[in-house]
Order: sequence, then C-alpha cells, then structure tokens
Amino acid sequence: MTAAGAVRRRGRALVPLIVPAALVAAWWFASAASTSPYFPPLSRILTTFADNWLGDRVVSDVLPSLGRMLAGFCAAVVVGVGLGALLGRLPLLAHALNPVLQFGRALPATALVPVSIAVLGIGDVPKILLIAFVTVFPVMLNTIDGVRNIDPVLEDVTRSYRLTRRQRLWHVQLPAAAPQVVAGIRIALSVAFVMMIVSELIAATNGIGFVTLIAQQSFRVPLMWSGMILLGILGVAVNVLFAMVERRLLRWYAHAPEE
Amino acid sequence: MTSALTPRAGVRAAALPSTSPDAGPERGRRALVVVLPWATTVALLAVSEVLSRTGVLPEEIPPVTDVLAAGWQLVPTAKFATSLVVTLVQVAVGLVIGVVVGVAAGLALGSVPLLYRLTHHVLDFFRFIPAIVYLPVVVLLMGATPWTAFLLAALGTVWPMLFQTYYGVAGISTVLSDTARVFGLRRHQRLAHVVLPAVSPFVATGLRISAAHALVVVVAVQLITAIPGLGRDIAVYAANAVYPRMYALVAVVGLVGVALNAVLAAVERRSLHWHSAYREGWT
Repeated sequence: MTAAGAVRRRGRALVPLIVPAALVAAWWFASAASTSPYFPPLSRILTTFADNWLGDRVVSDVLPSLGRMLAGFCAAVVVGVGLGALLGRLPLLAHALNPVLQFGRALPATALVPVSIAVLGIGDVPKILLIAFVTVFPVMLNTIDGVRNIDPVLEDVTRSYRLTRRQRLWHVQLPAAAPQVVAGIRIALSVAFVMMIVSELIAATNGIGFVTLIAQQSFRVPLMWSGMILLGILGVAVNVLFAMVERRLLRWYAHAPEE
Repeated sequence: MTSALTPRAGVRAAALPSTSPDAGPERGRRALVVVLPWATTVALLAVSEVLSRTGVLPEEIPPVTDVLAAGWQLVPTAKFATSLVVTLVQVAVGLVIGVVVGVAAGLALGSVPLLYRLTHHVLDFFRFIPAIVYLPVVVLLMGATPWTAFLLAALGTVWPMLFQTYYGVAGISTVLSDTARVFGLRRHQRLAHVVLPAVSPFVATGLRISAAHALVVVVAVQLITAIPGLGRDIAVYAANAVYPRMYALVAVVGLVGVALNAVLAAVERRSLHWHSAYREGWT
C-alpha cells in the first residue's frame, strides 16, 4: 500500500464526480453573462433560492407540501398494507374485487385531481385524501401478491408449530411478503411525490409546486428555476432516504435490490 | 392439511381460469371463478347507484347510470374522438422519443463501462426527478403547444427505458459475449444476435412502466396548461360542474390506462416466455 497507490485509488474514486461537477460549472459559466429572460445566471437563481426557499417559504410552502405528501403517503401505507394483508388471506374476495383494483391501479392518478376538487373541495384535507387514495393501490396490490406468494411449506410449518393467527401474521406472513410490500411502497412514494406537485398546480393556495407555477405564469423566471431545483433535490432526497430505510428493513433478504 | 391447501388451489384456478384442464365437478367452480369478479363489479356499481339516487352520496357523485348516459352521448361526438386521438398521439409521440433516446443511451452505457462510471451519479440524480417538475420551464419555452406534452411525456419515459436497457446489457453473461467474440461475430451481428435478444425483455418491462408514466404526464399537462385532450375536457367539465361527463371521461382515461397496460403486458409475456433470465423491473 504505497502512497502513490492510495492517491491513484482516491483519484479513481473521484472519476464519477467529474461529470456532475462539469455540468454545474458549465451551467454557472454559460449563464454567467446571460441576458436571456428564460435562462438567468445561475448565481441569480441560487440567490433567489436562498432568499425564498431557505427563508419564509420553508414554513409557508415547503412544510405544507411535504406534510401533505407524508400524511397521504403514510395513510396509504397503513391502509394499503392492512387491506392487502386481509385480501391476501381471503383469495376469493381479492379475486372478486380484482377488476376494481386493477382499474384503480391503471387509472392515471392525475385525472383524479379535478374529481377531488369537485367532490372534496380545495385545501389540505382533499389533497391528502387524493394522495392517499391514489397511492393505496400499488401498496395494496403488492401486499396481496406478497402475502399470496408465501411458500406453502412455510405456512404448513407454522401451523404445525401451532403459531397463533397473530403470530403467523407478524412473524411469518408480513416478513415473507416484505420485499414485495416494500416494492409497492416505493412506487407509492414516487406517485405521492408527483401528486403532491400536481395537486398544487390546480386550485391551490400554497406549496412548492404552486409557487413554481405562479412564478412561471408571472414571469419571475429565477424563482421558477429555484422552485424546480428544490423539487428536483427533494425528489432525489425522498428516494435516497427511502432506499436507506429499505436496505435496513430488507437486510436479511438475499435478493434485496443492489443500489 | 387438505383444508389448509384448498384455498390455494382456488387461487391458482382464479389466476388461470381458462387453462386448468380438470373436467367434471370443477367446471361449475371455474364458471363461478370467471363470473365472480364481474358480478361483484356490477354489484358495487349498483350499490353506488342506489346510494346516489337516495341522496346518501353528495350530488358531486352522480348515479352510475347518469355517467353511463353521459358517456353514451359523448363517445360518438367528433369532439370526443378528437380529444381521444390527440391524447393518444401525445402519449405515443412522447413514448417513441423517450424509448428511442432511452434505449440508445442504455445500450451505450451498457457497452462502455467508462461512460457509465462517468455519468451514473448524474443519471441517478435525474431519474428520481419526475417529469412534471420540468413543466414550468417547458411551458415557458414551448407555450401551450403539443410539444410541451411530447417533451414532458418523453422525459417521463426516458428514465425507465434507459435503466431497463442498461440492466439488460449489463446482465449479459461474459461467457455469452466472449463466445460471440470468439466465434468471430462482428459488432452488428453481436448487437443483433446477443445484445438485443438479451435486452428485449427488459425493454418490454420498461415499455409497460413508461407507457403508464407517459399517460399520467400527458393528462397532467392537459389539466394544467389547457393543451387540448381528454385531461383538459375533464378539467372543463369539472369547472362547469358537468359531473356525469367528467366521470365518463375519467372512466375513459382509466380504460385507456387499462388497455395500454394489457397490450404491453401481453408484449412483455411474449418476450418473456423464452427468456429465463427475466426479472422484475426496478420501479
């Protein structure tokens, strides 16, 4: 282990960072002297970012957005795993409801935004209910599949050992279904994030998506860009956080996704 | 033991209603298995009809028969046909752009490891940014034109296509590619006989995921920017409180989603039936 080898190793680890750094630098310098109304200098976008998204808008827009998304998402996970576990144990009922469930999954979630405004009105609760409603389907359907595909031998063994219904559910069925359930929750999370934004683009009064769209419509271009950057960073952060949770939850599982 | 396993047999029959060859007493059971889902669906719709008629549900949720009647009136009109075609064209054009770019980039990344090493941080960053995030700037640059829908639908489809293709290429066993090289296959022959067959199941999965993304994005774009299409019609009917028509169009959009998924799932099954290394997509 020579010093030169260590330097080379460190140098090699930096290779993947070349392109990201080059892209940011290219944006910075290419836009530095820009007078185009559409592409303001990155420095101005970042100043706007700091003034808005690190200031008052954290409380007035960022937290409401994230709060609505998390509330809807968490409700969907609880209801989706619960109903999915139930329907997974009642195959006949799951089969009977199959067309309804498949339609609910295939329906483009964004088409329901006007419906939710018509039926539930505007405000926080309708948005949360909408996010919960559309994200419940991937969670529920994956849970049904996961519970249903449990190895029958495993089931027989737990029966032979006279585990109670509750013990079988908590210690055998849910862990065995976990990889598929978590896959459904991951889809639900990205759907929840999209619905958070789209629900704020129509008949909203606050939120990151709302501010960003209004900025575009009122031609406050730096604010628009800064909102898009924030949404992009949040989209990545939400997924990275979830990948960490997923790796912890599924540490025991041999086929856990290699990230 | 037997009683414990009976429900499972029921599930298998449910999953494959037409292929189980058992004859005799099983036939009545299989008929029930086929009829049950649709009978349940009709029963649920009937319950919601009664609840609407009796005023239990608010007037914003009209009776199913009103929605069906509205659909019956709406579907033969030229306006509906235009909106449906425009929507499908937007999905299709976005999908084609996204597929071409995504597959090409995925092939390149899979064949040139250095390229992947250089760009994977950037790709991992952008794949998690939903297409709808780009909406403000695309509207700013393109205006309320179909190109806004094309571009955003393409942005929604390019990432699943890129990563599915990349996983397909990266998953090719070195034995296979070395063998092809030893046998003196040229570059284009390797592409045609080794890479593309290995990648096609992944591309098929990516296509199914992508088509769903494209439809979601196109509907959202139409809702928000007033680009013509079913999404805008839904928004207009909602704003004017013409609820039966609104629900009729939501049902149509849902059926489009179901049809897209069914067609592409069939394509996926076809490309899977010979491919043992098939596995689930990442989304």
